[in-house]
Order: sequence, then C-alpha cells, then structure tokens
Amino acid sequence: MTDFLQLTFSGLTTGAAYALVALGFAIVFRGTRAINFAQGEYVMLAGVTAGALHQWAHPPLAVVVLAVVLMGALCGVATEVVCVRFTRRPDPNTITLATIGLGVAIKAVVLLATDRQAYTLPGFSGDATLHVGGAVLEAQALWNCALVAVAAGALAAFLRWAPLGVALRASADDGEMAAASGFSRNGAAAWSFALAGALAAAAGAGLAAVSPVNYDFGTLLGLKGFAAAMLGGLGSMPGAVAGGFAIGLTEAWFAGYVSSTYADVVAFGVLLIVLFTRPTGLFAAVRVERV
Amino acid sequence: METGRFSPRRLLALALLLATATFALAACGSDDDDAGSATAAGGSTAAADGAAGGDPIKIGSLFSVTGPPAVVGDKMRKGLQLAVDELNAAGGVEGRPLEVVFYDPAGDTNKAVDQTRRLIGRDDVDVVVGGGSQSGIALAMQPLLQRADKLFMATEGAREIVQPADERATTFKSTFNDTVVLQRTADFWRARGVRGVGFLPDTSGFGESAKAELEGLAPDAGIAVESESFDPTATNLTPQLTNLRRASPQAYLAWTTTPAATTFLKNAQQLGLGRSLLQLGFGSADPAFFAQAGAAARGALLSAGKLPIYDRLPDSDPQKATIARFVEAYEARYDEPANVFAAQAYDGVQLVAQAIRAAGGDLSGRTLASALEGLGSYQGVNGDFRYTAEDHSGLGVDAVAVSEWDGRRFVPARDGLTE
Amino acid sequence: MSSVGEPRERLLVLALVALGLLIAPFLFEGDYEHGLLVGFCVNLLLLTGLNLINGYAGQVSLAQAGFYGLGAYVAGILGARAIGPVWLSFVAAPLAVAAVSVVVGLPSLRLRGLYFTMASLGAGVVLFLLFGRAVSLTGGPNGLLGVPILELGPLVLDTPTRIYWLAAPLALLGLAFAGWFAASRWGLAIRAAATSEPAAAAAGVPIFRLRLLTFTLSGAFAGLAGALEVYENGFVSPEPFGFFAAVTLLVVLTLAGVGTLLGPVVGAGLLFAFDELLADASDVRPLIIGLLFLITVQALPHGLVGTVADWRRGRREARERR
Repeated sequence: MTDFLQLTFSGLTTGAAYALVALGFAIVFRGTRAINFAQGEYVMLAGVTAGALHQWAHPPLAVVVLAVVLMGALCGVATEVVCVRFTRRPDPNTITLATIGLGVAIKAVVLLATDRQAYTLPGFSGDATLHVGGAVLEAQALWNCALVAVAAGALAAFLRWAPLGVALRASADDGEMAAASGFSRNGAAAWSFALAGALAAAAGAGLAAVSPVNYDFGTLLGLKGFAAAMLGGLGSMPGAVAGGFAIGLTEAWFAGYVSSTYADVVAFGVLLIVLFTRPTGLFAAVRVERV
Repeated sequence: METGRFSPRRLLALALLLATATFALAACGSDDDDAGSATAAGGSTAAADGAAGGDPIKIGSLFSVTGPPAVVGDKMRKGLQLAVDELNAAGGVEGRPLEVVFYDPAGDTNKAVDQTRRLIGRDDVDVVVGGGSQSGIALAMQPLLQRADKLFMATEGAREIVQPADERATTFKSTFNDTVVLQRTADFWRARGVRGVGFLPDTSGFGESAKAELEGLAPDAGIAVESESFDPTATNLTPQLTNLRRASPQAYLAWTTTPAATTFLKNAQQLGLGRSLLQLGFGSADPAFFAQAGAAARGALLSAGKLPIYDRLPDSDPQKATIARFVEAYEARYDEPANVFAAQAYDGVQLVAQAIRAAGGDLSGRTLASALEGLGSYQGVNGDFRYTAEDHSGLGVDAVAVSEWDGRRFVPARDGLTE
Repeated sequence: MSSVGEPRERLLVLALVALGLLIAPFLFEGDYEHGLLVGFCVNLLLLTGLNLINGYAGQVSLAQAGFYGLGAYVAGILGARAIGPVWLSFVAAPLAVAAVSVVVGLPSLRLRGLYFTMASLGAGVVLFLLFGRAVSLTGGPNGLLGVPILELGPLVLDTPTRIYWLAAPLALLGLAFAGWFAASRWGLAIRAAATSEPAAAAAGVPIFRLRLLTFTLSGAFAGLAGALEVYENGFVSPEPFGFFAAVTLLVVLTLAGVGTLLGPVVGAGLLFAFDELLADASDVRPLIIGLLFLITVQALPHGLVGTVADWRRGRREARERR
C-alpha cells in the first residue's frame, strides 16, 4: 500500500507539470487551431532562467516566479509575432511548423547561454516533506498541484466572465465575426500565446524546485504535455488537466509495477492510441477529420 | 499560391537566410578557439621554457566538459593540461614538445565517434589520452583507435575497455577497473556485516559493466544483490528505490557519472532510507555531487581512489606523498580543489610520456603498448601502476578506498582501507 | 505543388548528379573525406524517401529519423550478433522498416494533415526511446558495439572508399526511382490527391492505399540509409535519430525544395555544408536549423529549388502571354 501511495505521489508531481503544459496547448489551439511546439521549451526557458536568477542574485522566491511568468507571457507574444504575424495567411499547419522551428531555436539559445549547466530552485517551502500512510510527499508537489488548480480556475473564470476572455472565445468559435466586431485574429492569437507562455513559466519554476533543470528537459516534457492535451481533447481545458494527471499517474504506476526503463514510452503510447482510436480525446471539444 | 514574382516577403526571407548564413560562418570562425585544434584554457604547449625543439607529439583528447558527465570531464581536462604543461616546461618528451588536440563530445557517443575519426584522419594525432569521460564513449572509440594502431590511454572505468587484453592490444587505462572497486566494496560490506544490497546502475556502458561485474562477484562474497537500472538522464529515482526497498537491503549503491548521483542521495533520504548505508561508485568521486545533496549526503560513502582522503592516510603509505605533490600543483595552477578524475588524466599523460621515452621515439600503438607492459611499476597519483600483457589497467584493490562524507569533506570510512 | 519536369529534364538532373558522385571522391581524397561522402549519399537516400511522402503525397512526416534509426539498428544488431550472413542484415533493414511503416501507416494515414504529422512524430519518438532503453537489445544510450565489416559475397567493404562505391550507385538509383515514381501513374495520382483530395477521390483514385504505398517506400529508403550508415560507422547509438534529427530532415528538405527532383540533392548538400562548416561550433547548429525552419516555412515554402522552378514558370508564362 505504501508503495502504491509513493508511486501515486510521484505521479501527481509529474502530472501537475504535464497538466500545466497541456493547458498551454489547449489555449493556443483554441485561439489559433495550431499546435504550439515551443510550449515545452517555454517551460525549460522559464525553469532555467529561474534557477539562474536564483543562483546569481538570490532574490526572494516570489520575485523569481513573478519575473519568469512575465517573461513567459512576453515569450508568447514574441512567438505570435514571429510565427503568426509574419506569415501571409496564418493557417494552422504553417504556424505549427513555425513553432517547431522556434522551439528548436530557443533550446539552442539556452544551450549556448548556459553551456549545458543544470540549475535548481529551492522548494517553495524549503525541503519540507509530508508523511502520509508510510509514503513521502514533497511539499513542492503540493505546490505544483495547487498551481494547476489556480491556473485552471483562473483561466476558466477569465474565459467565462472577463470581456477579453469572452472575446477570445468568440474569436475561437467564429473568427470572422469576432474580427468584424473589432477583435482581430492576430489579437486573439497574441493573447492565447501570452497566456500559454505564462502557464509554461509557472510550470518551469515549479519543476526547477523539484529537480535540477537544464537546456534539454523541455523537449520530452513538451511532447508528453501534448500527448496529455490530446488525451483530454485538444482545446478542452478540463480535458488538459485530466489528461495531464492521467498520464503522470499512468507513467508512475508503470515505472513502479512494470518497468521503470520504459516509463517514458507510456505517454507516446497513449498519444498514438488516442490518435488512432478517438482523436477527439476524452472531452471532445473539436471535431477531427478522418479520411 | 503565387508564381515566381519576387514579392517583398520573398526578398526579406532571402535576406534573412543570407544573414543567417553569415552568422553561421561568423560563429564557426569565432568558435575555432574553443573546440578543435587549439589547446586547453591557459595552456601553451609548443612554446615552453625548456627549449623543446623538434616535431611536436600530438596527443588527441576527448573529454566531455559539457553535458551529463561535465563535472568529471572538466577536471579530467585540467589534469591532462597540467601534465602536458609540466612536461613541456621540462623540455618535452625526448626533446619534442607535446601538443593537444581536444574535442568535447558532451556525452554524445555518436559525436565522439565522429571526432575520433577526425583525430585519426584529419588531425593525424600520435596517441589518444581520454575517452570522453564516459565508459560508453571509450568503448566506442576503442576499436577505431585499435584499427589505426594508435595508443589509446583511456581514463574511464569499465573493464571491457581493456578486456580481453589480447583483443585490446593498444588500449590501456589510467584508472581502476570497476572489478577492483567492486571487490573493495564487497570486502567493506563483509567487514560491516552487510548481507543484502540494492544496486542502482545507470544504463550507460559504465553502469552496465558494473552490473555484470557485481552480479558475478556477489554470490561468492555471500551478498544478495537486487538491481534496478535507470536512464542516465533520469531526474527521479523514487520508483527504483521503492522497488529495491522491498528486500530491505542494508546498503544501497548507485553507479553513475552524472548528477543522478545527487538525485539518488536526495531521493533516498526522502524515502527514509537513511538508516541503510548509502553509497556511490567511483564515477561520483567529486565533492560537488555530495555537497549539492545537502543534509541528505551526510554519512554517505564513496568507493574510489585515495585522493579524497589523502591527508588522513598513514605516512607509511607511499601514495600519500605522490598525491600531496599533485594536489599542490593542481591547486596552485587552477585555484580549485583537485579530485580523482584530474589525477586519472594526469597519470594518463605521464604514463604515455614514460612509454614514449622507453620506446625511443617510435610512436606506433604496438610499440608503445609493449613499452607500457615493460615499465614494471610506476608510482602514479592514483596508485602503483603495474601493466602486464594481461592487465592493461594496472591498479589493484589496494589502491581503492571507501571514504565517508562528513558534511564538509571526505574522511576514511571504518573498514574502508586495505590493511 | 510538386514539380517533376519533363523526362529530358529529369534525365539531365540524374546525369549531373551521377557525374558529381563520380568526381567527388577524386576531388576530396582520404578515408575521412570519403566517409563524409558516404554520409552525403546516406542523407540523399533519407531525403529522397522523405520527399516521397512529404513532397509528392503531401503528408508531412516526422517519422523519418526514427525509421532511419530502425534500419541502422536492425542491420547493426543482426550483424553484431552474427544472425545470418552480413549481407542478410543489409537487406533485412529496409524490409523491416518497410514492414513497420505499414504498421504505423495503416492507422496514421487515415488522419488528416496535422494529425498525421503528430502520429508520425509519436511513432518516431517511441522508436527513439526504444533505441536508448532496450539496453539488452540495442546496447542502450552508449550504443551498439561489435558491428562487423560489411561483406557482400566476395566484396569486402572495409574502408570508407569502398563503401562509397556501394553507397553512391544506391543513392543515384534511389533518386532515379523517385523521379520515375513521381511521373508514373501512381505518382501522378498521389500528387493530384495532394492538391485536391475530393477531386481525386471523385476520379476514383485509391488515395489511402497509394499513400500507404508511398509511406512504405519512404520507410524503405530510410531503412537502406540506416544500413549503409551503420556499416560505414561500425557503430550505432540513439542520438542521431531523435526529435531534432527528424526536424532537421524536414527543415533541410523544405528549404531545398519539397516535391522536386533536385530538392533532396540540394538538401543533402546543405546537410554536408552544415556538418563541415559547423564541425567546430556544433552547438550553433540547432540554432541555425531552428531559425532557418522558422523563416523557410513561412516565407519560402517551396524552398530554393521550388522558388527557382516557380520563377522559371513565371518567366515562361510571361513570355507566352506576349
């Protein structure tokens, strides 16, 4: 029982990260119908910057987190400018491919800037751990889960009630009507990317507090977060959160009970199964065309 | 779809492409001093005080100074450079200065193979010292260098690098085989009454080799070993530790060269395994790995050379003086503490120099190999090297020590030294 | 839209490439340099294969690097474990990858556009992870050792130069096949389907089956490339087959010109140039690739060769109008 609890806690920790990344995918997809492959690299960029900031200047943790969240949002805006505005006609395919290129470029810049060094952040409540039923849960894991809850809740509220959020939803449903009403497609795209960037940054800071981060860890994370978003249903916020935790837990249980070596393959197996059997995911938000 | 009109966007795109191309060329121009044929930081090799004339002897070297094995590789490179500079200052070897051609594979085996082929085909080196700071890389380099008849002095740990010796005629190493380190550790366990061990090797060549060794060694020593492998890039070892915990071992031993060592200590502490012995292998022989684990590392054990505890050795130990001299020189030069890895590279160069002197100028792999085998005994920093036709590692169990981290530094562990 | 040109043009292109391949080893002499030339041929095979599914069938695939790795590992494992004669492993590799392509393609090709790309990405990443994790089979992250010398019957190809004289004709044949295929009735059908699916379907084209065929062919090309690579290197490890490798192939082909005959050749040349120019600054490479992709995909979607083709077409049309 202890083992099960232990593995579950481990799964919740990684699941929170996947959920945050998946939320980012969902938002961008809602806003542009494209898949933002730079998402994982945003997380990495934020995590490494947070760690480097901490190592260099030791500012209070809240300042670090706030700083990278802001940076993440700016990253998102920059992505929109570079991947959407620059194109003649921003169709989802082109935007997606462009974000792939951007993601690779971001990773390379961090590689050159940090020379492959690894960074950490202190846990938000130090090294505190909780003992539940014989298993150990890092306090940071709870922080990360809380981050997901806050982010998901705030997003939902924003989209529901805030004028800008409503405009975003309108743009996603019927872009031309929204544009006619004064909310441009590009504006919607910019806001979607900015939100995704901020979310990713929060995830990055939360992860850096769990284990060392370097230029490399964003790629696999981004791909797994994408799998989570697909599982939940691309474009669905609750789906993204559910998908994230589902994959995190499945991975952890697989690592413990079947094979820790192949645990990383789980997320992609899930992705392929979803694509092949039910591409709309668990909480179908968008129809997927099949041949 | 537009036809071939040269729209402003197209022109802009082409202009950006040109800019990118220029940037690329500029980048490779400015990076020429970092990697490639130039020498290590702060080292001038050809220009030396001892008036070394004649054709330089080219030493090819691969160390991962960035990437997962960076902590190891960085110190190795510095150790190598220290030896090269000392030799050059004394007039070179056989009157010829030493020149280093260095590449950084950053832990990527494929890149290392490419770089090795460059060393052989383009840079035309005479000998190679340093196998990328990773056993897996050294293992991949070995057949290429053997075929090219170049002496390969590896600084990595897996025993297959030099075994079977008749198939590794021109390959040697300046560090222990994992065999002797594991033997010493097994002796330690026997003395401490450890009957069950949880073993965590990584899936690199280094870990795989140790896994095979330990599983062969353990039954004879009367110790039960359970193994759980992990990917060298893993950031969470809780699943593996949870699995190993079921058998309630008295000791946990992790075997890797990457920062996963720190993760191991932290995770083990978090899981409440601190009552058992927490141990690391000689791929983690640097204070950094322990210091970064904070409180979790206190009391943790290390199986490696004697350098970390040299000042606590009895004066009767001949290694004490040799290590002291090296540590002084290293710290004077680099203003940072020395470690086992730096010593390995240092010894490697010195051994090669000895071989070149003994061989009287013939630098082919076969000749230098015979010279090394005929050296007899050489007192290196990490121990007394006795190469033979069967043993291209040269170090025995007596050169290994089990040390303990007391929170600030290493101290000899009880039952840690061969009497 | 893909362009293949008149049969005469195709023949001219092939002749030029053949000439280039023939002269190259005499321009660049030495074992190491010939090794690089083998690398060029390997990349040419890879890109030719990718061009089939990307360019002619219009389905962007990110699985090519994974298939490449699969070919290399199949050939390497069979060779290192001495399972059958060495030449068998060389032949088995493309066949094995073709089989896996069918397995991957059957469910994936039913998906449209971006979703197919995602599925191919998933497949490629799974393969890459397996290469590094199935340690007892593949040797793990540090790779597979013990790959023997390539012996095809009486021929012992133990130097890069000798392997080149196998690789170059294979690459040329591959290119010729691709050109022939594109102009054949299957090729025309699939290119029509890429331009307008409903029209092609209405005309009775078995789109799904043709796409599956194309995908399988591209896999076979990758498998062959992998086999050549593993015997040239004497070694294989997971790093060259990951996500970044898949992206690089896509970038280079897009930049060179997707759906053209010369595209893969220019692309292979670009890769060669990158590797040589950036050998000492290999950390800058991903930055260049990323930026190039970013720019190309938005502003130069037909790539270099494609833009030239467009320009020539534009000139021709302008002349005809006068």
